[in-house]
Amino acid sequence: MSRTRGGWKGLLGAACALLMLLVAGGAQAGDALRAERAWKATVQLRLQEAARVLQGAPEGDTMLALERGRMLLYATRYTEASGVLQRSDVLALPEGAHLAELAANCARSTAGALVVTDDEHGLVVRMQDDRDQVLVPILAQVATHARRSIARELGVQLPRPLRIELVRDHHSLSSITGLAEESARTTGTVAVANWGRVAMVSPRSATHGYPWLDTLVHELAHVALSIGTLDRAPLWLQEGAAKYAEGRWRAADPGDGHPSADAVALAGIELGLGRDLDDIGPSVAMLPSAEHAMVVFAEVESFVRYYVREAGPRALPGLLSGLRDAAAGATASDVMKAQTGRDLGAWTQAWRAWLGQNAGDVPAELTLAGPAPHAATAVRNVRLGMLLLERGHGQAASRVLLVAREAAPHELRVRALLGEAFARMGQRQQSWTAVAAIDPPMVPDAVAFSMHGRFLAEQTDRVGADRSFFRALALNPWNAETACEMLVEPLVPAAAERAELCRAARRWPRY
Amino acid sequence: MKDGRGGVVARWTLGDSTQLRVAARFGGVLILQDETLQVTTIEDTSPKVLVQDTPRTLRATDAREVPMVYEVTDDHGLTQVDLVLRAGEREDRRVVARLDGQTRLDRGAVVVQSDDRFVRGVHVPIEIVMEARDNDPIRGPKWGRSETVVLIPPAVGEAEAKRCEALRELRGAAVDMLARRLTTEVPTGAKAVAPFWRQEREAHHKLNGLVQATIGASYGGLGVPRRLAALVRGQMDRLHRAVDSTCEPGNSHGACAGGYAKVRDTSEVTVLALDGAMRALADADAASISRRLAEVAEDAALGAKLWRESEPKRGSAKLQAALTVLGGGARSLGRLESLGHDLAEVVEIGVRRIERTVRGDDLRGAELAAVDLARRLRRPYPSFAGGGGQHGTEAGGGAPLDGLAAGGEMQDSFEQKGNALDELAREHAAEMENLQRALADAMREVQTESSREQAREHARRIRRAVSGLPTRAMETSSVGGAAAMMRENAERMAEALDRLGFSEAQRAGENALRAADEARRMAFGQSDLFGQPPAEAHAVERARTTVEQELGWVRERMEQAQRAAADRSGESVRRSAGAEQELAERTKRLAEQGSTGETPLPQDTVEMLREAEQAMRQAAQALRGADTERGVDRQREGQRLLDIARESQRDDASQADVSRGNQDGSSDSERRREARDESGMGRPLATGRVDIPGADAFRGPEEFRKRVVRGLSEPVDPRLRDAVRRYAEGLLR
Repeated sequence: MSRTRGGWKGLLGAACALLMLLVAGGAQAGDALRAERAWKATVQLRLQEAARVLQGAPEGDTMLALERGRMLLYATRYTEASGVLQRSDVLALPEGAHLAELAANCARSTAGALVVTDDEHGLVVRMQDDRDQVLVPILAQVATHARRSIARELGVQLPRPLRIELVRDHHSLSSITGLAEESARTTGTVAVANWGRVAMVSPRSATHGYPWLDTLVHELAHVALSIGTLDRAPLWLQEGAAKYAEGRWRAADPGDGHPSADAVALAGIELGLGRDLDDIGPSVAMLPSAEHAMVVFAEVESFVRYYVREAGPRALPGLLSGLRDAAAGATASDVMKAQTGRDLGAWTQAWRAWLGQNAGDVPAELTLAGPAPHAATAVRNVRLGMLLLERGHGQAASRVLLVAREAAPHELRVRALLGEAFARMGQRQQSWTAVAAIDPPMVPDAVAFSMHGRFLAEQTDRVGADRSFFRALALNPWNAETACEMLVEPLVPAAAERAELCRAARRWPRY
Repeated sequence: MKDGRGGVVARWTLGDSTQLRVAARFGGVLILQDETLQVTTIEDTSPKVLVQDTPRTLRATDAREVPMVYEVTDDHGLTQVDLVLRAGEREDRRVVARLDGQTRLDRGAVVVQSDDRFVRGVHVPIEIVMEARDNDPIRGPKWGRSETVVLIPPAVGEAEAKRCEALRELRGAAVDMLARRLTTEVPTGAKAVAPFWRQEREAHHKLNGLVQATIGASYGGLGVPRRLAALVRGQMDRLHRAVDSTCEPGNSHGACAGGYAKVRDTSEVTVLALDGAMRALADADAASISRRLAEVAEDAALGAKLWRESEPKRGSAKLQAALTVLGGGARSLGRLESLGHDLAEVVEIGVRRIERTVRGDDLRGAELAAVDLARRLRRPYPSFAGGGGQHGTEAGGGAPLDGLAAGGEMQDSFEQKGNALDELAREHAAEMENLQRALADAMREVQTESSREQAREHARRIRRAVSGLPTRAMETSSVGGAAAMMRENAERMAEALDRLGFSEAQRAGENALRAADEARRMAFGQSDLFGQPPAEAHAVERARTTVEQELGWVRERMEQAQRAAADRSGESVRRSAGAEQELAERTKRLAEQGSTGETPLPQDTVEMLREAEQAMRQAAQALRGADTERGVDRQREGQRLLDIARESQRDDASQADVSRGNQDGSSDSERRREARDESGMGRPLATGRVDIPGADAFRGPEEFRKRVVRGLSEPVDPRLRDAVRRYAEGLLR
């Protein structure tokens, strides 16, 4: 996430300038070279090396104290970091005050949180909600896949251990990342990568979940980009490359690319929701609305895909290493020009021209401006259907949900409810029909995927069933039906970690 | 010391049992007494305090009051008996009895109500004990204490949770009814149609009964907010009309089926409106509970800090108490709707974090975790909001189609009507006040110095006329008594005239004449042996003539003044007539909007608005004709009706006193009907001032008593009528 990275870069610049002034003025600034070595090791997540550099630092050295605080912050040792950064000489530095406040917030928001360390997979997960520990084995597997895919696609090796902070809500996400809570709520931000770690909202917090596993990989890609470019990647590259990488750790999903990033980008630009690539602002999470965020993500994803397609598969790793090795002051555009002969402006022009001719249509259900057609009818009937199902009235529910399906034919949520209503009536075939054609989903729905998986399993299509169950799990793991693959208690899924998750979801059902 | 009789006296304070022996010293020789005296001390024990049925534990939700029937004894004497309530760190000590220090036995009883201010203010278990102090002069006063009654207060949010469950039950019943209607068709046979519709009406009345019971009930002191109740009643009225009018005898099957489709649609809207309103209330309650729990979390942080820094025992107790309260609050939140469930988990997670740090001896961590929880609870938003993340990773995406937005637009529409009514009533009240101020100003202007001098002259005449009447009488039911009453009222009339208080002078004059008539009536029955009436009778007759003349002058003067005032304030009156007409139009439009659409106002509110409109039109007409007296009267009536209609819509999320207001068991609409009926009979304002008769209204003691009873009981709020009557009867018995 770029706000803090951007701010961090700026603050670092300011700190360096201050350092130079102090050195020039003969003040007791401290060991500048040693501080720079420590800083470089820290931001590249070589934390042990940073600790060695800082070992035995003189007590009165402000810059080394600042770097020690930074190193501890990156190591997620917040209480210690807070202690170091509270020194008055460190607080007197603008960056020192900023880091001190952040460390104190992190210490408060993670106090009493449960820490699970997985040495085998190189992962440390700290979670506010200890019940989330059943998610750790799944996170670990994904992190392992992500290491490989990110090394392949971006040319960066992720360090060990990777640090993940799993928080309950936007409040805590804001507290430990510095992102304004209001911004997080406005854009529906679920994760932020900064200070060398990934901070994610628990999928339990979102009623229908969110693509938490792809999100993890997206954020790990940010970590990789920071390391790989020494934090020199501009925001469009940060977000574009992360979007490019987020789905490449797993097999392709039928829902990938739907809605097409190209189509959303073009439609968004035409509606005035788009931004120039070099004018996205400090962070996608700080855009005015979730729709703006969606369009900007689509723009940068579409552009990076276009760039890779046109410049070749090694173009992206080359761009990252080029940025890392470029002379001070060189921009991504300079590196692109040096590597491909065209700068960012030229590439953007070419991409827009391509977009105008090749981007398809945005699906009717995806509305970037105003409510979807028939939305009110669908919303009313979905609510009635839910209430009727809650009271066990399957037949009556099916009646109102059929109206909802007519209004929103591609909404998986409606189909899942309809499938449930038919199932309550004992009409298995109609229930299956309701969820059979789930692709490509406009808005994915974990329960629809789970039902689909269960029907496939009953038809002995184990591969298809597993794929559907995984799609559901990757979206909403805390839904008991999803976690238990629609099995009836006391049955649980065969895989140990899934069985554990299923038991937990039944024991602590998501409200 | 010497005792003055050759002996000596010595005094020591005896602490323990000992042997006493007297000795005498003569120079170097000490001669001991042969005998020793064994002195045995009996320790002054602490007072013994016994309280019936202790120890025991009660829940505040089960026990409305906790009687503490005590008996205190002491071996020497008692000085004080206290009732003591302790909850966590808080203590409330109340002196029940102060004694003389000689009393050795005291018995009594004291009751702690479940709505006691201390009980209401805490959420941790409360220890209730009786404590007594003795008068031990040697070692200082000692306290004895009884066994404990532990009162467990309701969990934070308990009342809100109960209310939400009741509304959920109501919603469930509405959903069940909808389900039946969605899966039922109108029968085709003519014979089956009548029972079918009868069944529909019965189902509707059953649901309506549940609605009335639910919105009229009290949930641990909390009622259903009036605006929500009005919305539900409006929906039920609409449903009632649909059920009642959609299939008349003799209609074709097609017409009846069409009518039933309308009933289905209306039932759907009713369910959605009820659901939306109920969820909105539950979410508001969740936010409110969350803020209260934030304070408890802060208490937990303080406990952890005390434990770590200075007072381990006290800090630990404080922290544990706070965690208990947080746990109870989380359970209450979990009984609400989605935001409540979400925040319940937030609290539970916070509590587990605090407990984990305590287990790990990390008290600084416990403090931080508690502070973090407090901060979160002060911002009672859903954990996750905004895009929803369904379309994309990290951020962006639209909200999923989960139907939770359904019903929201209905609530908004209903809110708008309620707000419009609020605004209308406020504007009308302001307009009425403006007119009254203008009239009063004009009246003051016409009261010149010359008229003041005239009035004083008339006052002097009155005083002279009654100067011969007695000033007091032993018997009020005698000619003398009536004459004294006449004089008193006549003098009051004169006094009012001195101040140019014509209205008051008129009232006092009328009372003086009534007293004179009473004296005349009694004079017939009190003739002396020679058939002559009592001496006062003649004086009363003479005075009566003068007072009657002066009263005529007062009336004439008032009419002149009113005409003059109306002329002077003509512009204001004309402007007010226009404004009144415009407000009447607005009232009409609001009544029309309130009786149509998916979110109608309750039928009786609409009727009230229509009556208000009529009164306002009459006021406008009277003001246009410069009949300010009638204009003002009709304007007041319009305002009264608007106020009653508004009262039914006023948003009051927490009606703590609803249970008291509902003691007579009548529903809101019944009370409003009563108010309207009373108004129709020409009685004073049901919600206005109580017309307590003055001392000048002479009707004899019996009549006066009746009038007090009637006066106190009739015009007040009908909810309080019976209680006031009982009170008044008791007062005058």
